[in-house]
Amino acid sequence: MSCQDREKRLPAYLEEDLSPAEMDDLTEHLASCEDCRKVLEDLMKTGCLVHDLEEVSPPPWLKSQIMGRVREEAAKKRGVLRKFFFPLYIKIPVQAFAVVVISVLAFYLYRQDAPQIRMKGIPLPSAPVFETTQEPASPPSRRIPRKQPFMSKGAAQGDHEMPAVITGQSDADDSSSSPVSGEEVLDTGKIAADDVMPETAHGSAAPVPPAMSQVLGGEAKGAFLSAMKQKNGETRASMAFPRERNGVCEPGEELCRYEAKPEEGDRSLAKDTRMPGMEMSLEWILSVPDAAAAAAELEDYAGKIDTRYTETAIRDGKHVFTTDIRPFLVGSFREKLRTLGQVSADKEPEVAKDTTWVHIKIILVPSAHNKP
Amino acid sequence: MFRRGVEIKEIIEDEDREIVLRCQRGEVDAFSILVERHQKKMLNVAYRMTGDYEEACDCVQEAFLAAYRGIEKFRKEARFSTWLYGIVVNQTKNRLRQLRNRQNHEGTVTEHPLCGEISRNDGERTGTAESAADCWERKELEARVQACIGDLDEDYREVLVLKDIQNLSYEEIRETLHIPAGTVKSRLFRARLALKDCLVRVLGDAR
Repeated sequence: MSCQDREKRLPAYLEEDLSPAEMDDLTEHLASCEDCRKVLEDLMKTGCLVHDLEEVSPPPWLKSQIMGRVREEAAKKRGVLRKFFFPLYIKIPVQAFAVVVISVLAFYLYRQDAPQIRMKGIPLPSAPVFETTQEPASPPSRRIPRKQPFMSKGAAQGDHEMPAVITGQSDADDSSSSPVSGEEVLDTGKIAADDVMPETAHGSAAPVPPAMSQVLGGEAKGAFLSAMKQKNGETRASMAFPRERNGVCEPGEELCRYEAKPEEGDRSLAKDTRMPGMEMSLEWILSVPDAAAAAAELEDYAGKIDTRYTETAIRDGKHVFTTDIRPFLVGSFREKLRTLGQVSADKEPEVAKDTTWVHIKIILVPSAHNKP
Repeated sequence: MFRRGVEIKEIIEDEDREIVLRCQRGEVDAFSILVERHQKKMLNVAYRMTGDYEEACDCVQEAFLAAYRGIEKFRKEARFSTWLYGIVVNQTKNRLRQLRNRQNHEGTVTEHPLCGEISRNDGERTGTAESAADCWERKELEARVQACIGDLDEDYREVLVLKDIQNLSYEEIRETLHIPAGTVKSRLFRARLALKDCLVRVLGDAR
């Protein structure tokens, strides 16, 4: 190994970073080689010079300058997040949007909780019943139609609490006491047919009582059956007995039905959100000398008792008075009718226990007109 | 010795790590502690690498700013000082590259603080009765040594600065520069030989 090669190993020799054999070889060589000793000496002096280099001190402003830039950097980092929320031109729309969202949410929550609120007995503003059931097209009328079907949905839906039909024919007293019968009520029957006949066709599944089918005949029977067929297959099957015979509305016969329909509630409420309740409908024909006066008197009377809805309409030239009253008032209401004229219902109808409202429709027929 | 070294290393790590954690949590002021603690060492590395005091100050500023930007990514695998040394060395090398590209940099310009400034700034030297002539003589010698350091290849220079001036261990240098320990040693030995040759040339009999 030449001196040049050994010189390259001298830094490692100073660090003792050689194998023992190499260390011994160099030690021996250095003892005999002055040039290599000189190189080693120079290396050691170089090390001392470098080691003795004076440390420079940072200027006093260095730290503050560094920290100034660091703080700027930190502010930039925060600024990225704050940009989304801090400027008012962004913050205010965000808040406004949040208010709208919360309001809409609260409204829908209220809508969902309304039935529960009613069940708890908290009073809500009353409104006319919203009728969701379908009704056959009725002839145009000045009266705002109260879209409450006159047929019983409950009969076809298995509501056993409902009495079927109260008919004058089933009661000997009724027929005997009935002031109007046979051909005499032809016109009345036509009126009733106009108003009611389409509605009687609801009960596609309802059996026709034997007595009724016996008396039904000719065109009326055909019309009835065709109407039945027309309505056949409708989801809303009703049980109804037509109270017209040969196009004539029989006196003493009244159409009575119960409907498992929502109780008093908001018209705008969907059907499934309303409280279940029982309602009953009655339709009577009142023969009076002066229909208009009688209707006015009925309105006065209705204003004094507990009614939910009262309306007088002129339909096909006939006064039709409609009201919803409490079930316990049905008897007194009928008595009132008796004072005004001749009522088609001679017997007080049975009212089921759970009935909340009784819808009564009075067709006012001028008695003088009917009489031949 | 080795065991003692490890213990010392752990103590130093704990000191920096706590402050680093505070910085990572967003305490900006905690970073000033790190600046205070490390700025002098980092400045000396940058200064010995560039040979220019002003450039060294700029490099250190940029290095600390880069460290602050990346402090969230800093993990326990390395000591903060080792990590910071690496940033400073890279920053300095980048600056030297820029200077070379501009062709404004005529070799390593050795600019030393004045003798009076050294006495004021460096507490170790304060109180030593050094005459102005001695100071200038020493400054002249240091300038030549610094010039020779500046003549070294960058790869050799950085190892020499970290080992012989900053007294880092081979392990720390390996972590800082991300090169194998054997490479650290070989570069160091070559750097020492090259520096010796340069000093013999520059100083001659004046040594």
